[in-house]
Amino acid sequence: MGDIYNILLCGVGGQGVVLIGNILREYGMKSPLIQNVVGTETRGVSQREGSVTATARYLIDSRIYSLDQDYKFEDLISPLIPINDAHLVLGLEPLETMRNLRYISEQTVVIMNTHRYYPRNVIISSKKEKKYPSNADILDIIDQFARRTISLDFNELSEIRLGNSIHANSIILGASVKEFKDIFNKNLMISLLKNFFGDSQKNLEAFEIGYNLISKF
Amino acid sequence: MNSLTKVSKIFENIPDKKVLMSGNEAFARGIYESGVRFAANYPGTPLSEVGDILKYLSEISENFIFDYSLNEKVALESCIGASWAGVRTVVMFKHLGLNVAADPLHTFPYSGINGGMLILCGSDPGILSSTNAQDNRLFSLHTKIPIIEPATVQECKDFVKEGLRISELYKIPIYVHVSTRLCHSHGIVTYGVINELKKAGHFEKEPNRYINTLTKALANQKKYFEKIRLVAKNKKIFYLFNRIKFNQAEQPSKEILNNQIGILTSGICYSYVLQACHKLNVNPPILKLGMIFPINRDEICEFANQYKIKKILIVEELEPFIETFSKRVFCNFCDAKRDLEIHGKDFLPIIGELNTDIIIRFLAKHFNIGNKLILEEIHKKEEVLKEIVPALPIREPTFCPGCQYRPVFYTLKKVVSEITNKTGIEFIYGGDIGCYTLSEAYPYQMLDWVICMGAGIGIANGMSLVIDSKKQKLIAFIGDSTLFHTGLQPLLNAIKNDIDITIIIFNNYWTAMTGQQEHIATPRKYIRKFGTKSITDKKEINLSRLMENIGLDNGNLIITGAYNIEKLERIFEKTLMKKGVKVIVINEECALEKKRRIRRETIKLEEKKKSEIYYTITDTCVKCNECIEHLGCPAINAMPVEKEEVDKNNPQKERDLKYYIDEAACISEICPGICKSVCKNNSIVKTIIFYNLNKKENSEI
Repeated sequence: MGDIYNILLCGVGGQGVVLIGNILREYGMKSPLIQNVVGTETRGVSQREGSVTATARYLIDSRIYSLDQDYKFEDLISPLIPINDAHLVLGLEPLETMRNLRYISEQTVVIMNTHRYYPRNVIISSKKEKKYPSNADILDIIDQFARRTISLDFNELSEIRLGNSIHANSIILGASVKEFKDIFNKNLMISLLKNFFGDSQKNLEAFEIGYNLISKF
Repeated sequence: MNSLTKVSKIFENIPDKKVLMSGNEAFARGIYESGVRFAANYPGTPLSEVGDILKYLSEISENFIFDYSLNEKVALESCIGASWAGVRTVVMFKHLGLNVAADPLHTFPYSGINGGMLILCGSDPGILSSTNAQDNRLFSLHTKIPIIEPATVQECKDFVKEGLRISELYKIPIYVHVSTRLCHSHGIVTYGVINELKKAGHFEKEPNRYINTLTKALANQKKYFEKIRLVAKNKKIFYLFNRIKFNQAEQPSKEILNNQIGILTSGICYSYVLQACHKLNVNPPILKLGMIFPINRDEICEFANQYKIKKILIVEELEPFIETFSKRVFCNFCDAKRDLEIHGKDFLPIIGELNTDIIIRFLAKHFNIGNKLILEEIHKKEEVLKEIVPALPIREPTFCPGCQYRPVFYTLKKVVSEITNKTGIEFIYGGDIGCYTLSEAYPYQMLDWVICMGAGIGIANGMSLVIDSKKQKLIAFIGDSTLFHTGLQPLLNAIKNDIDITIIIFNNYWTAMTGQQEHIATPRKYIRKFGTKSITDKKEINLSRLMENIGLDNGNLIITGAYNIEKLERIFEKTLMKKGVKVIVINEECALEKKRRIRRETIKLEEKKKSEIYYTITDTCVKCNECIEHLGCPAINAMPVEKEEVDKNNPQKERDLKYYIDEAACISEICPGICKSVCKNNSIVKTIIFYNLNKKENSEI
């Protein structure tokens, strides 16, 4: 069996979890390094505000398979990531990243957007049974488990640099590509980004911002 | 990538092309490749997307016909008809749909089919979007319909093709069992060759075969059971769907040979089993069942004998279906029965979805060679998670921003509590299946039961006849698509008995909850056209006019829109206390779909936006919570106030929150500002920016 590389995405409905999942799986399809790709997504009942997760799993294998071998890529067909096995977690929202702690271990790099989306029951005084932990507390706990955590208010960064918070995800993708240079090819990812987001200059700019961000950490 | 380009790629005629797709897309591709002429569907998660894709295909392809049927029974019967006329058909719906279609399901296999026929049915073991987790495999106990279950996205496509072939060969329908997880999984699929489509069907009369009465039915039953017996015995079919995986890399040790463990599994669980075996570094022989009913006894026994298996582990979701029949086979017919141990549901849960972690633990229990470390690691992590995760606030589902249901429930809740305070009468809410089921959630909490389609009014029928109408009153909710599915009969029954009930029909023009599919009452001009051809959906039914014609007179039938809170208030005040059946039809298009539809139309006409509307919360907001708590629109949100500001004033206090309207979420072009109309403090302001003027002009209204 070759190496399996697991990416977990989590966030709130409407944030683009499903879309980034699609991009990353399509990347796995296009990359010559990756032999097989699977994944899944779990959407809540609601259009917005629900917890959403998606997975992309890559099989990276240098062995040469014979052509007539049935079930060539049977080594990797499960769309679910086992406990502790994520290599990269893209947490688009702090509470949702915390909720997926199950997959984070000493082999995991977490890139987390610290921009918070408060669940309704946290905002409303009469229903405040469960507290939304502070970003500092969340980071504390994630740091205990993860190999490396990169956290930033990507919405704010996008707003300051590009005038609109909607490019936060492109910044995060840029950062992931630099962080995992061995797996991601920058040009290939950019071409996919154009495919999914259109030829918007702002998105490519955002991607570059994310890419250049990593060396600074 | 444009979603339409993606859909059109599913129907490319490029054999051997490798494409990344979801399980649902692979089903659609399989249906296309196999030359299916007719498909029918009632939308339902997890299979709704297959219908959406096929709808597109039906408009661009010459001979393929697709129908969004009124309900699953109609869909199944349509497919039986098409198959009897000799063409290949596929009917698809969610597991609960099989209950509705169960009547024809138990009889038509006696007559058999002509064109190949699949019943594609999605199960939902985790109850992620259903009302129960019934295991439809158990239907085979009395229908005897063969069941096949794909394990990978590739198999989703291949099994449709092979299933149709076998179905046609034996002239029996075949049931395709698939779990939510696989429908929503993605994997690489290799395209196959596209079969030619049979153009016109022809029905050959054969009364003895198609008329199932008395002796004829008995004779047909005998023939049908014989066919199933032949399928069970056919070795080729066994190896067509089932697969044995065993990589004996090196000479096995004596210890392994004496304690050989085999695994029996099917569907998506197979992938979890492989993953778990990899994690535990074990390599047992695995029999992956692709056909789980009927069972080829000889081949299953052969598996146990060939690998000298001493212990069989059975991995399946929900009921012990495979376990039950394998126990029977191994105990009654197998040479290995002498000392064969069988484990499955003695460890695995019968409730909920399985996942790799559960199976790792199950396997580790039986393969006790050097797996202690992994188990300890899992155990340690789960102990930590137990402390943290349950304490996190959950995100409750709610209506979309600007949803037309919100003002209705907001107003109804207000009027009802006024009446209750004044008179002491308690209101009971009969719920049904659709977006309006979310009225159960915070902040409305106006729902007393949800059972199945049509059961809102249905259950109210009997209840209203026995309760004291001076103390309790009934309100039942139902949507348009659900009304036509199975809601009309209970409604007519209520009118017949003239029970005391207020029925609110939410007519949003679409089957909205499953992804805005059209139905019988969708205005035809709203339906999106992909191609020129559409054989179905020629006429629409006007829901309001239908209500007028079933005995509801002027006073008892009220037709209104959703966004005028004052008007709704007057209607509810006037209606709720009246005697007899009162029907309030709320005619308002699904806000989400309306937004998309108008956006599409604007792009098509190349119209430029003339104006844009914004709603904002001003600093005069006193945080009375009327908008955020009682109305509960998710476009209204809260953000922490700047740190310094808070620190300066109350250094001890927790960070404060400031309310704002999320521009990206608010659909101001559809919703006329319900939040503004409920704000008692006039703190929500509407701003219109006109683009056709030379200078931007802001006008506060």
